[in-house]
Amino acid sequence: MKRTTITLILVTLAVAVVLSGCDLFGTSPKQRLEQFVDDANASPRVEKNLQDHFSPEANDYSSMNTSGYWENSFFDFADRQFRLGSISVGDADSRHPGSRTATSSITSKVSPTARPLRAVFVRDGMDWVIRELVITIGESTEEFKNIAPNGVWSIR
Amino acid sequence: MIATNGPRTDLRRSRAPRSVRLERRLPRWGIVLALAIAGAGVAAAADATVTFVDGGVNIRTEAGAVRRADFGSGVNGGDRVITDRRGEAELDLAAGGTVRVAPDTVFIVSGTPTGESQSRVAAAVGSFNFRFRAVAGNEPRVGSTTSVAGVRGTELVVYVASDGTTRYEVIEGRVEIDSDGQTVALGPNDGVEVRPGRRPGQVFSLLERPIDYAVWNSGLIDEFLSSPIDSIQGLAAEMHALIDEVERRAPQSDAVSEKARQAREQLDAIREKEGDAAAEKHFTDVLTPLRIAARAEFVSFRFVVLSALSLDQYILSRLAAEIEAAYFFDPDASVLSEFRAVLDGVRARYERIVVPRLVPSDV
Repeated sequence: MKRTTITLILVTLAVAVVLSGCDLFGTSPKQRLEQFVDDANASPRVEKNLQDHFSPEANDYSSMNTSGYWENSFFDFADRQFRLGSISVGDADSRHPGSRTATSSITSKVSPTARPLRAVFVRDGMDWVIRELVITIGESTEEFKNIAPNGVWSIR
Repeated sequence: MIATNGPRTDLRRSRAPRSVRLERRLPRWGIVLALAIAGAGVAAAADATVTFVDGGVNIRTEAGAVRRADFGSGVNGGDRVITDRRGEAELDLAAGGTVRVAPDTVFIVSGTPTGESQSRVAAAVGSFNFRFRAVAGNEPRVGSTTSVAGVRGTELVVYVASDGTTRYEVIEGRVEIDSDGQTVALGPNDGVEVRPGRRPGQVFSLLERPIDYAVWNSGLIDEFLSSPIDSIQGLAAEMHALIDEVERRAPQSDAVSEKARQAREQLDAIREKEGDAAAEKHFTDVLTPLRIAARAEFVSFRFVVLSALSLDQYILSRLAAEIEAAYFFDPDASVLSEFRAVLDGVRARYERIVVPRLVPSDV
């Protein structure tokens, strides 16, 4: 009887995992995004901690362990009080097979207007890490159009 | 340890090894299933993937962590694939190319810095075969820390010797090599060698000069030891060029970052004087584009800094060790003193200009 109960529990668990696609182990996409924002708000800040939330495949990865990189981003240390809105995790991004996407919004001390945020996550072992992070910030003026044509701050 | 005395008979059971106790509680296939559930999360999706590995192959991340390469391992921007004497690996690149990394090689994928259109693949030392199969126009730049080639729908093999000499062999397609102000174009079955700090050598036919890497590398080391001053001067020229680039880009990068910083400071004043709407407009239309531009500049600048680091770590340090070993019993040899003088000269400049731009996790 005991053996049957344990067997039933294991099978139920396996079916739940398969059907719901839930992440029983490792860091989920939602957790990853929340942890990244927590580390962005941390004082003192450790840039290496921010880098560790990203996939090494992210284009700027080799610069993410420097303060010079982050001070020229939405996540400037001086702007901390970063707040995420509710996070919705969705299906794969077609450019990254096996990935997951998440959408949310984000505010900061200097940007109280909620900005749309979209992230793409890829697996790193049992964890999900950020492959892309895109925050849309209005539209640029004509003067800067060639630099930031869509007013989009992104890591790809 | 299992007690054997009479009064401890009960303890014997509770002190049985943990794994044995576990087996007694779960059926064996239950353990397998639990492990399968745990293992379900292990499968990794990566843009750059190891598709073949044989022998000793490790992946060293930029942060310095080392792990064994295995089928399906991701090789990513900044990572180094390091093969030992018997190691070989094959990688599928995100850009669509395939790379076969030969034994005794340190292979680097640098990714695509923001603002640039091409990724980079390079060997710090050793050799690799590169084949690109995706749509033309998106090919990576291929080469070594001392020379780089632009490729077009190409298969080529790149060898990098311990002295920094790079040998390109084109199997298919076209390659252009730039070095010291001169460009050389290679077609199928063409090869060329580029010494650090020198113009590309004569183009030769691969059929006339086949290569055994170990023999070639060993020959170059022997050549280096027979005229180490020439070699170190060429490498020093290469390093000085990188340092010049760091010096040139640093004020540019700093200036754009400073502009962004000033725009950030203005934001608080604008909010106080003119209100939230004006501050929002400043954030959207001025600060954000400046930050994006500053970041692009910074990342490109970082790439040059890290190239200088690779040249020092993989080439200069190795050659210094070779010559110190060769002259171990003749430490007063004039050639050794001259070598050290050239090396110390370039390293003094490297430490003054490049090292302050590194962060602890780079080394």
